[in-house]
Amino acid sequence: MSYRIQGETTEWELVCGLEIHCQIISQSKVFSGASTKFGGEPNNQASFLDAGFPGQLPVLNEKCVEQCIKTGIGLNAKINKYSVFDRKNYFYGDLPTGYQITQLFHPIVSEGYIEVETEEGSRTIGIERLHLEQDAGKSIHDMHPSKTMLDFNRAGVGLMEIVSRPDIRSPEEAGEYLRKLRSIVRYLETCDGNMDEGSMRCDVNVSVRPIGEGGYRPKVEVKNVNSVKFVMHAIEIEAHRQVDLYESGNKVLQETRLFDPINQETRPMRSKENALDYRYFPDPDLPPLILTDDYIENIRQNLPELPEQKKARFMKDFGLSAYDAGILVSDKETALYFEDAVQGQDAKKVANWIMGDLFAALNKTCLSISQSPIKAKDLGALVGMITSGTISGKIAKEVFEIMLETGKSPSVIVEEKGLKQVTDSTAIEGIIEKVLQENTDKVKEIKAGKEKLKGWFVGQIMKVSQGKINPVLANQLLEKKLSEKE
Amino acid sequence: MTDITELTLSETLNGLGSKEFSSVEVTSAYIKKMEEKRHLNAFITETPEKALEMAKASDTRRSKGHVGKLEGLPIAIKDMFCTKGIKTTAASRILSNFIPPFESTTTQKLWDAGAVCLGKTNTDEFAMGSSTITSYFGVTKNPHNENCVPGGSSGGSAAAVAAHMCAGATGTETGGSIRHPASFCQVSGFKPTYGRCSRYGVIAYASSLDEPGVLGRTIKDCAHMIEVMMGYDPKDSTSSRKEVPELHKMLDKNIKGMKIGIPREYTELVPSNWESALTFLKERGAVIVDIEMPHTEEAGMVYYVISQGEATTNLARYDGVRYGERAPGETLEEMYMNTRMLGFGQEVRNRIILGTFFTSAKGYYDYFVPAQKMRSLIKQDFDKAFEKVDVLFSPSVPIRPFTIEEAKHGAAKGRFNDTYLMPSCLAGLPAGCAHNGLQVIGRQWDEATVLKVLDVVEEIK
Repeated sequence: MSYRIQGETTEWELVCGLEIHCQIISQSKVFSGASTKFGGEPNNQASFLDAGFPGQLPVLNEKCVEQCIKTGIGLNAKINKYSVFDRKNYFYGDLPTGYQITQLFHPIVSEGYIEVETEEGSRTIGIERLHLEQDAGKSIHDMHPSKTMLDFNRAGVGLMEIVSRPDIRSPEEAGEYLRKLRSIVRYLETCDGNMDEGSMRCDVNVSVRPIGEGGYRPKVEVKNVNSVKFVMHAIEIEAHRQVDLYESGNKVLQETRLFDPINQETRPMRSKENALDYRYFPDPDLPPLILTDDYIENIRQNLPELPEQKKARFMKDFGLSAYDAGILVSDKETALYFEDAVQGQDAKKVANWIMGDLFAALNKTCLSISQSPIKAKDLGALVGMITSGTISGKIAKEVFEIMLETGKSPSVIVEEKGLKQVTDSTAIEGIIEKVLQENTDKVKEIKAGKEKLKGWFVGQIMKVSQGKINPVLANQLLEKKLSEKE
Repeated sequence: MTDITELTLSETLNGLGSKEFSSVEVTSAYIKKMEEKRHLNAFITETPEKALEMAKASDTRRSKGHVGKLEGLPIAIKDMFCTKGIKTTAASRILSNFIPPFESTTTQKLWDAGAVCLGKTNTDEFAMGSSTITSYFGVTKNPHNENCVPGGSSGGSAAAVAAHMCAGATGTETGGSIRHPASFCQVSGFKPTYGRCSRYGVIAYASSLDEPGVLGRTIKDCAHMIEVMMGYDPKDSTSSRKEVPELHKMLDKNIKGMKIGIPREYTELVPSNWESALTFLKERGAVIVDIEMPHTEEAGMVYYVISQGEATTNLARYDGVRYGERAPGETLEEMYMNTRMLGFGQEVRNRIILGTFFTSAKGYYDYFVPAQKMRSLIKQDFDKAFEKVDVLFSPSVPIRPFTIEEAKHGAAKGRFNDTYLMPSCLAGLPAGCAHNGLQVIGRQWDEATVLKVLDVVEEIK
């Protein structure tokens, strides 16, 4: 079912677009040589340019350009060979020059799309543009009762602003779009996608319209919604607020609002009537950015595999189902883990162990897969030991728990704990003989036709051997021994 | 011994080379002259101790055989160039306590060539003006007539050169700010093609127009200095990678057969020596060609829209938050307003307000975009002219210096004050004027020909 909001008079449809700011992964900032490292002392990674000193000039960091092109290709978008940097003018304490260098009139990337999977199948969300700009510094309001502290370490870090078309029709689609986008930039290593650290930030544009109505109604921009969950919540809440307004005969103001996740509401920030005039115009300190076909093609050729491509390969090479492959590629780290673990192993089994036991264990301990105490190679080895019959599936679960605790490799654990499956028939026969001798009465009952007791014997044998005997082998040998007793 | 400060920069270089005198002696002489002429208010900051220290170091280098192109020459720096550890104000109250922690590329090149820093010269506030009367640090007087302004905005540098308070000085041009005061103070001034001199460390007024340049007593002096300042700088994205020729060696006084264009629009008002100047050039073998520059009239308006639009955002950083003077306020906005009201003078505030209008959502399409288009047409005028001629020749400022009183009542806004200067700034072309007020404009990157012709023009009485 499509997402609909039932009002008193009519049914409403959501119209939503996302503006996402991605901090670019690069050694140095987009227009200064200062480092982009996160976390150090305040203002120790701000150059004179980042602090807006007189006479300082911006020089474009080529790495950031390359990252934008990579991302643009990942978004199936057009890479513009001619783009221009503009100044966006406004005053704020953490904006050191009084203007942000961005690209309004001629962005570096335009016209792309992302395919998202929804319950109703695949949908295409258009991307209007990706442009390169610089981040502002940080205002810290809670360090001093009456003063605001400024940290310019973030000032000048390169940002890609990715603007979608108003193609999103449900909160779930917005969530999927955001997840997919994050997955793409992570695959391309152009942004780490960490929303909780602010390296990926999201503004949401929301409007509603009655089903069947053409055109768009005034939109509300909800600022700084910084998790997938909050984005979905904010859209839901804002859409309902707008429907309520229309249904009660009011109008929706085109304005900027803030999402308050605690009170589950959006609140006005500033309305467009007193909106700032940013007075955009081309930055005279930076010549237009001209790219050659060769330059773009070279980046395209060296692009890492994207999630869609990887999914297709997993299905083809490993015979995985679309569902399994989809889960494994949704996160780059998981895909890498799988690829490491699957070397020479049964792919389906490896996939099951990752998506089953490993995910459950990581979930419980709140670890990401890259922090997993079990190394990918070790998980692969564990699967290998099951396949080869070295250990049973049951023992494997035990070994897995120990691996989780100790980080040791399965072969070491199996060795140390003596968990190796006993495959030497003489040894197994010895154990069977012992069990049979201790239970001569039960042997007699079997002879008398109580076949069911055979199962009890297998259980006893497993118990005595601490599960190390291959149960199939144990069964065979038991049959053999019993027939000998006749 | 004669007064060393009477020598030109080139003569001083020779004297230093032949060990007639040392850099410390030259520098001391200039420091003495700076004291004598202090009432002219040519300098905002004098750096005599620093100068003597640099002079000593220069003499030591020379004794070891390390001789830079400007080894031991004491020069003055317009207070728009950031100088590390030396107060740099742009003649504004808002930067009156600003000591840059870095050096501009062009001044660094001068020091690397052995030059000695005498101090920082006065200018119109943020180089906005052509009288040097908007400086927070007071008016500079014209050495030839102390009731008059020195022109501007590089008026401090022009006055310092004219009064022999330095061997040469740097200046900056945005709309004629070197040639104008050079003309008023009867010294030489030159600015190369936009992109030749790095703007790194030069306090920005209007980035697409700002060009560092020089003022000297002779054209040769200018050539000596500018060839050191020119050259590619990775810190300035608009900087050119073109090779820099040894300009001072190219002044061979030979203009025989050279085609010199006279833009008709630049001769509406001419000084009394104009006709004899043309005769002189013809006698030296030049061919005089009549040239049309139909968009000249528009240059003034285009200049104001573009320069003020850019200035508005360039000056946005002076907010009292990180450096410079701050006037407190109850809120952030109030602090901005108080700081900027206190820190900027009236002329700067006027230009910020106009520039804000020109770049506003509406003003951008009504003014800024048309101005950019007209700027292209003005450039085309030059392109067409240079298909026919090698250089253009005209008066620079065809009016006499106005008095300080007249300047305060808006004399600088009068017609002809900068009419002949602005088009070449908008086109970013190399241009200069000799001490007699006559100017030469050349093709892009062709500084050599401009200086060569100016070196001959200099002889015109």
